[in-house]
Amino acid sequence: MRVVDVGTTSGLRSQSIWHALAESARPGDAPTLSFVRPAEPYVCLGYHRDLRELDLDHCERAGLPVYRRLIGGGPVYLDPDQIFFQLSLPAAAVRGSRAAALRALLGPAVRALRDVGVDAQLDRFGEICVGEAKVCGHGAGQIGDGVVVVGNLIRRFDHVAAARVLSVAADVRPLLICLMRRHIEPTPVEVDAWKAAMVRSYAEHLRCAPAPAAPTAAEWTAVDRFDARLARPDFVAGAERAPGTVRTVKVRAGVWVHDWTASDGRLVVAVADGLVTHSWGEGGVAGAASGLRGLPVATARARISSFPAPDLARAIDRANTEVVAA
Amino acid sequence: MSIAANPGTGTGETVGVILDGYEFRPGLTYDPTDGMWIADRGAGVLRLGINALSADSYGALAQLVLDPVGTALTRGGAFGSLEAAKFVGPLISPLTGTVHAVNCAVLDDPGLVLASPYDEGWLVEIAVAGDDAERDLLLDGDLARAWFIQAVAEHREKGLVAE
Repeated sequence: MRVVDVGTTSGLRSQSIWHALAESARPGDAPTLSFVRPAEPYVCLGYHRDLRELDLDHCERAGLPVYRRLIGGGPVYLDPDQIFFQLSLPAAAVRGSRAAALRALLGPAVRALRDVGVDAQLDRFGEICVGEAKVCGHGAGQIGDGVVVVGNLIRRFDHVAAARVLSVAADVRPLLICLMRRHIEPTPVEVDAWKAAMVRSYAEHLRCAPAPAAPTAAEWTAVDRFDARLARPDFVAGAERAPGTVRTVKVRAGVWVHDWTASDGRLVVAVADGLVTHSWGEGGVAGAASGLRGLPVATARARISSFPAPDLARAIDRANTEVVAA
Repeated sequence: MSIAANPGTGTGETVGVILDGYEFRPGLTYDPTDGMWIADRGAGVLRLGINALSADSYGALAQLVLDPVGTALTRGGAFGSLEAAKFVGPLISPLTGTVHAVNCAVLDDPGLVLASPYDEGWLVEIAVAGDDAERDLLLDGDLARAWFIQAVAEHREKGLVAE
């Protein structure tokens, strides 16, 4: 197993480096475990996500560049208090259920955290957690002939900054910060000890000896190419999408805020642990909104189906898919 | 190899058989490399979708993007992408051709890929010129059935199929 520690690099390169390592993986290649830390804060959007999920005016005012990555997950605020790790390996080595493979490839990261004293678990959604709080973001994807699983060690987490980059209504943002504080926590462990534990854990899992390495010349060429692609305005903008009536924000698996707005009303519903934790409304549905609080999501969903808000019902159903699948 | 003609409204082969827990449609053609089924719609147009085993290996899709009508495709190249459980993967075309039609219903509801992989969950139709060498890489009939049974067995043996 190659171990590539890039150290601290620009925000853009903290993305492009592992895209290049993954894309360069060929059948039969040894896996690569890599580490990188961004020198400055920025915002990064998952491959399929809508740029309108971000408050771009705020990002510009705050000097936060926006990039898009080629793997999954939502829009995230990243900064130098987070150290990213990636496991890149040939796609042919990852067959069968993607969810099961992802769980298997995140297992060593959980064990590494436990080795440095963090009571981490992989929860039923496949997220790395301590208690009910997620402590590590993750994503995965196939880039060229390689598959990459990425995650981060969050030494400190700026919940306010993370919520501020998202495009949400002013009255939703405080709720979002509150839910983020409850459901996303940092793990301020000693970085070198954590990296050593990660190398041990992945080497054991993959049954191969670790060897420090640097990116090859071909990989650096690919890095340059990804530097250009991930920041290119048309790539960051993504595909055109019709505007919807529901703004949904995922705080972590199973924790969602849905904000439905239409000409005849508005309804905000927050869901955590299968229950509606917050709800309020305006217009015709204002009276019914307060009655949703505390209900199991299925019961609330049934009531919402009688409201003139089919898009909201669909958004709740889609969000609930991951709960059912887990 | 000729691809089985299916002039109906769906895949044309509506009677599936369950092989070790996964539906297999005997009348379809399959790409053993990237999990696609292929049905002949006539006039050089083929319909593509993801077979039941591959659909299950992705799980419930959160996102699905398909190339628009008119896009030129090459065998082994991507014609879209999907996302499930934060995993993004390419959709690989089994044949060279041009996108002729896109299933808008599956874009609105990507869950159809898993719920109805051979019918409502079809992805695109492509117009092909008829490259016999490419078609020879596909499987149908008894060969397809044998391959499908082996593929399910291998997935189960590796313990990676979501149960």
